[in-house]
Amino acid sequence: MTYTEMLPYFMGMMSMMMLYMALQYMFLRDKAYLYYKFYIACWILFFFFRETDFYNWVGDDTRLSWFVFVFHRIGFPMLSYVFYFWFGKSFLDLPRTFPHIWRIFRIAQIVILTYIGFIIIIALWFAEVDRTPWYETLHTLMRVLTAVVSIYGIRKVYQGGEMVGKYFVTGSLLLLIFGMLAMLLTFFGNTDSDDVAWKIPLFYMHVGVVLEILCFSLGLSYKNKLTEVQKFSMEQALLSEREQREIEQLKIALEKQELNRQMTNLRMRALRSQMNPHFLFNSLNAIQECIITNQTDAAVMYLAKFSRLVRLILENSDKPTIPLSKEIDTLRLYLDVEALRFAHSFHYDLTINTQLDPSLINIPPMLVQPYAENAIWHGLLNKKGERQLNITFSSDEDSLYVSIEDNGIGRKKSAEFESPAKKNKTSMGMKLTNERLNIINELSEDQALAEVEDLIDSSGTPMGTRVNLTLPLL
Amino acid sequence: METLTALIIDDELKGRNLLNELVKRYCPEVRVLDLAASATEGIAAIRQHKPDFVFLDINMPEINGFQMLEMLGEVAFEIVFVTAYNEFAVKAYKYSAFDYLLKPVDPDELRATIGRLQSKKRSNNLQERFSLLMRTLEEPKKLPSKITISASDGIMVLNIPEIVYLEADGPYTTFFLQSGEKFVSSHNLKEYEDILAEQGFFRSHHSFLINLDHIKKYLKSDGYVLMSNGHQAEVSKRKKEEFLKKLEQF
Repeated sequence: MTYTEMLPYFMGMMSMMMLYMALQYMFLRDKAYLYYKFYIACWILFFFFRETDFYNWVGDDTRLSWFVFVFHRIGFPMLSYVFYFWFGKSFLDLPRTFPHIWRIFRIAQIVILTYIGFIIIIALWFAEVDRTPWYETLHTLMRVLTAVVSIYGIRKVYQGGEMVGKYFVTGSLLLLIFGMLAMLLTFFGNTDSDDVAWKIPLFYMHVGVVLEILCFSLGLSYKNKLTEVQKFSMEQALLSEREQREIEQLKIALEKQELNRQMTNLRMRALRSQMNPHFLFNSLNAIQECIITNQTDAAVMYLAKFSRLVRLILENSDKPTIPLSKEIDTLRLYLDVEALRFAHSFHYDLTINTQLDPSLINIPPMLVQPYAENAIWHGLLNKKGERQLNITFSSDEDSLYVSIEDNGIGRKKSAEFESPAKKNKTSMGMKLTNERLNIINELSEDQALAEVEDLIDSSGTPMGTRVNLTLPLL
Repeated sequence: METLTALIIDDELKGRNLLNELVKRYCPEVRVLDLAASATEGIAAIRQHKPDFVFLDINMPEINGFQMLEMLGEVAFEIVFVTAYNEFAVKAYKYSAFDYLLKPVDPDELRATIGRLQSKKRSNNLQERFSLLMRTLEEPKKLPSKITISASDGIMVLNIPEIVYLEADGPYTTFFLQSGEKFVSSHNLKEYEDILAEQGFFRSHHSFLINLDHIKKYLKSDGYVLMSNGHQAEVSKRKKEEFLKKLEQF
């Protein structure tokens, strides 16, 4: 087959390739296809003008013919370089993967475009360009320059070692090798287009172009597949991330539920700590005693107070907060019942030292009583002589202060009386109250606080215990 | 009727008055010798009066009832513990066959308790029971391996694993042992069910509390279970399902 006979096949193949790239771009919207389409177009146009007698259409030795001549000889090959750079940019994502190469490509592109523009202007208005020595030198220089830039890029991409890069490198190298081969063969001067195709230098150029296009197409397909895989794994990651988020939300909900459960639990236990079974049954026992010893009035009064206390406790226990006035009522009833039970062997004072209206202040219920019970049982009942309990309420802008002070035996001495069996039971109320304080602190930003103070006189003898309770005003 | 002498030890005045009045009213056969308002007073009164038994309040400030008993050393009298509320203590009393009263006091229970005291041989096995009581109290989570029963002819300490089953006999309970011996306790079956349920015993029937370790064979059709000593214990229809579930877990 002669070179001339082969040419249409070559051009047809190139055109098909271009069409294919255009379609791919339409579907996949990957810029690499677009640039590659232009790249192939440049080659097609180059060969088209080279192999056809375009002077027939544009006229001989007219400005248009010069322009077309310059453009086909310089414009298309040089523009193909520009599109090659851009293709490389999209294909390999150069700005990200090889920013250095991309910078050089862009400089080269400016140089090339300037060169094309310069030659066109010269050719159209100033001087004969074709076959002049200065032009030939300049053109060779440009070709070497672009070749050097390409080789530099190819080398760097090859060193990068990525699979997509390898397609790019192979394709570029194939074109380069066959291009060099074609150039070498031109020195032997066989340009007879009707000779057998493989003897014509340009044939090798075609082979190079075809092989390169093949490589690049393969590379594009590969990249396409890679993108699909990446997209898929990204979707997977997104999906698992969403799942993770859902799990986290579920966890948070669970934690909240757990906290609520704990709160309910604690409320129940708070109820229990105030409705201390000991206190309940001992109170009933004391009432039984009043009845059997015929102290009817005392029994009636005692029973009434006791009932009111139980009623208040039950009412308060399922509320997160209650007015301070109610808590004080409850506390007073509790102290009255205890005083009756111990035949008034201790005295108590309740002082409300706050400017605020106790019915307008809200506090968590049943927090003060356990401290009072503690003071009675551990401070006062172990003591001989006068027993006094003072409970004082005071406040400032954001906190309520409750001081529970007894003149009992003090914590140290009290601890000496504790047997393990006894401790189990008696410290229960305190433990529950502390847990409740912790939960209150977790739920609100303000700090509820209980501090225990040992009271001593000037000689260091214990004079009792004071608990300072600080509650945030809600 | 034999007269019993008693002491009341309670820190609360009302507690002492109450028991004193109740005893006077409902148990004329008991003579209260003295009332003590603290453990210290109690020890002195015990040493002075040597009563048949003592009503002892557990929950007292400074020295509680148990501590008082430990301080006494030798205990030569029966004890009726008086307590408002203490699950652990009540369990311990049951294991060691000590009598106890809950506040406020039920006169019927008071009378039943006094009745038991009258029929009891005096101060039987007291030291052993007392140490069992203290052990149970100190380690409320640990299961005791022994149980004390007040039988008609005295107080017996039994190894729990050797009990094959218990059968109700009116207000009494009969214990059947591996050895073939049997003892009748003056407490009812329900009381034993309360403490022995956690020891692998199962109330298979209104009248039967069986040790699951001693089951030999379950006779499905007849609703009986054959025990290791060859006796048959009834399994009521209502309990069948629960019983089979228990057996599966075994």
